[in-house]
Amino acid sequence: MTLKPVKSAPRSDAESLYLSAAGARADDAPWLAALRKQATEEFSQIGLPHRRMEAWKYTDLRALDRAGFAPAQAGTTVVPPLAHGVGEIDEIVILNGLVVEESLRPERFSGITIMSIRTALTEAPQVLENTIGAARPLDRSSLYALNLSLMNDGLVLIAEKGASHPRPIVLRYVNDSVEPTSVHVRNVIVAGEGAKITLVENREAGTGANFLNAVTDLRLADTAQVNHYKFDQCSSESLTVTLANADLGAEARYENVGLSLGGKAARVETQVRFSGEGGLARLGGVLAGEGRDHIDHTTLARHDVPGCACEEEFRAILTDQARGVFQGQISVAPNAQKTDSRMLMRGLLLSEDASMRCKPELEIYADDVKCAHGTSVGNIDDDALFYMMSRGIPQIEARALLVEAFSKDVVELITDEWVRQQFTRQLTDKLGRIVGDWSS
Amino acid sequence: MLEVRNLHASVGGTEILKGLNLTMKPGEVHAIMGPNGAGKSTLAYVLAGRDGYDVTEGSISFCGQDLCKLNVDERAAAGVFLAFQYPLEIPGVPTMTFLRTAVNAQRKARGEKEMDAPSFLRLIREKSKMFKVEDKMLKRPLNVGFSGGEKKRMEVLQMAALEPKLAILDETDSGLDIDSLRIVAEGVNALRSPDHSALVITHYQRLLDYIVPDVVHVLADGRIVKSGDKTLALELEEHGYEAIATDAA
Ligand SMILES: Nc1ncnc2c1ncn2[C@@H]1O[C@H](COP(=O)(O)OP(=O)(O)OP(=O)(O)O)[C@@H](O)[C@H]1O
Ligand SMILES: [Mg+2]
Repeated sequence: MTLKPVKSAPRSDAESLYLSAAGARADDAPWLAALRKQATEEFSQIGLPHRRMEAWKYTDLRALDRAGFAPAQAGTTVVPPLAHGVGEIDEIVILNGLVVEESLRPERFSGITIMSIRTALTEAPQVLENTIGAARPLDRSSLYALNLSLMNDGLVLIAEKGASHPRPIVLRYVNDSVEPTSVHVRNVIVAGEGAKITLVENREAGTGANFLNAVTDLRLADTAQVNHYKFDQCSSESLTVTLANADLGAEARYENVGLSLGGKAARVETQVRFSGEGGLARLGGVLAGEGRDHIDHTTLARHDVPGCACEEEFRAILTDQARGVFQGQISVAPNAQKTDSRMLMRGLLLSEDASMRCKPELEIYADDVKCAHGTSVGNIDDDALFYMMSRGIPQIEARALLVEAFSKDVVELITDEWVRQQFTRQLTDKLGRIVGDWSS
Repeated sequence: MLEVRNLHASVGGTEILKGLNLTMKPGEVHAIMGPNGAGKSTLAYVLAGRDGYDVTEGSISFCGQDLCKLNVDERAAAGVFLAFQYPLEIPGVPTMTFLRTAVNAQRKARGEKEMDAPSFLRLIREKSKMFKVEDKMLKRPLNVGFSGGEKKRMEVLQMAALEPKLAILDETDSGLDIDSLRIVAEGVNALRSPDHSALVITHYQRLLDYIVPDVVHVLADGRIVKSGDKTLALELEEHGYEAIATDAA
């Protein structure tokens, strides 16, 4: 696939910095070396995504990332486990972009092969060639190319037919560098027929400013179930760009819900391709921003076969000068009859200067489909506030209850109990701060 | 207990209350009747402290406090409760969370100990039995999907749980079936005591058969134009407001 080069400005410092790190890796198989070379070429032509590209119209990374982030060096920190997860989850740590091998603990998995990309490069190159080598994202940005060009590591998880893992697998992105650094991670998740897994990508703030560029490929065979969640605690000087690229077989179920709590720029993109009939995807996200946070959730759902359903539920809660972006593209091929698609985005702006951009895009070529979508942006309902206060609830508490209520429908999408609790806890903490600051 | 003097209030720049006087003694039940658009709900909102209902003249004293100086939630904690003519639906806020937050916020504001979970559950179970509010209603978000009558019963359940010194019921009887009407009236009567008064806004004499008022007022064009005992309500039912208004002029 080639991209039309967009006539662009001279190369920025950031772009030069990223390109200086590109090049073949010693362990690369020939197919990967070729892919990398092509990707590097692509990035060098296009540069960082910017506002003149349709898919990045509202999230201009060239403007948001001027100086660039140098490639991260291996970390030294011993990462303590998540206090609230001991025993209930399986943690895998990716420190400064490299999988901490001791955190893999294969003995905790059955019917599931788990290894780092680095290991797979030498021990299971065929798996990577069949996945990364054959990946066909619905939309491929220059950051995808940059990821291909610079990625060193990530998680490979292969669940055999019928395998079912009882605990959430929490992939922790941790950064211990002090200087601004970038990491480019690639994960490969393959769920065999009927397999069931829960994957959580937990992006932690890290010590210094940092840039996380993560691509996760997910292959769901027929009737497989993958619950995929993303927690993003991106700091106000940091960038997060994550892409989940899921391909669903017949009657597969894919759930993807993200919580974005800030960032200089945080872009969470989810692409779902329905390749087998009867697939179901539930996508959701809560964007909670303050200060000058910029949070973007983008979804693409492509119905290539009949009888699949996609539900999307997004909420943005923004204060100060925070900016939110939601783009939702749904495309239904001519033969994809009986597609059922629902997409709702609602924004709550708690200050004059907060803003929300919504871009729903429907391309429907089949005639027998159900497709409902809506977006709305507003403020807290004064009547509801008065009603609650008239029962003695102080204004700040009443607001907090109403703001929390606003995101309920997204929280309810989450099947996994542990994740739902974490989601609620992190969101409540954040909203407490947003509502508290805002009333003072 | 409540002393409203020469109250003028406007909504969106239009004067609605035009020199209203009302005095309630502790434990009394007063009924307010009057034609549509007279300003009954406006009075209720002014007492509750709703934004946009501006007092331009006059005073409101409640249990010795200047009510106008208090916020909406402070008035509630001081003992003012308004059962809304049109109760709101609040999606996403679970009814039980709402009730517990309200009960404990008021207690906290009054410097009392918060209610623990078992006592709170007992309280709500008792009240919901009294007002025939089903468990499945308590499990839903506040008022969401409730019928008109169910919403009104939820209002009185809240009243009973909060035990206000002054309960203002704005047409709580409208839209209720006979059984619900009796249930609501019993709730008000149960609260009635030397410390608990009620201001009952209604269009129908029927409610006053169940909640027998000490005083009945006629509110017309932003003023109390006539007051009397419970027989005034019967008189109104028979002759209408027109006659009373001419009579009073
Ligand atoms: N926001 C507003 N702006 C301007 N006028 C208003 C506003 N709200 C109410 N009013 C007017 O105030 C007057 C009194 O209204 P209010 O609701 O108090 O009447 P009411 O006595 O409760 O009537 P009903 O018996 O129909 O409930 C009406 O003429 C109404 O149109
Ligand atoms: Mg009214």
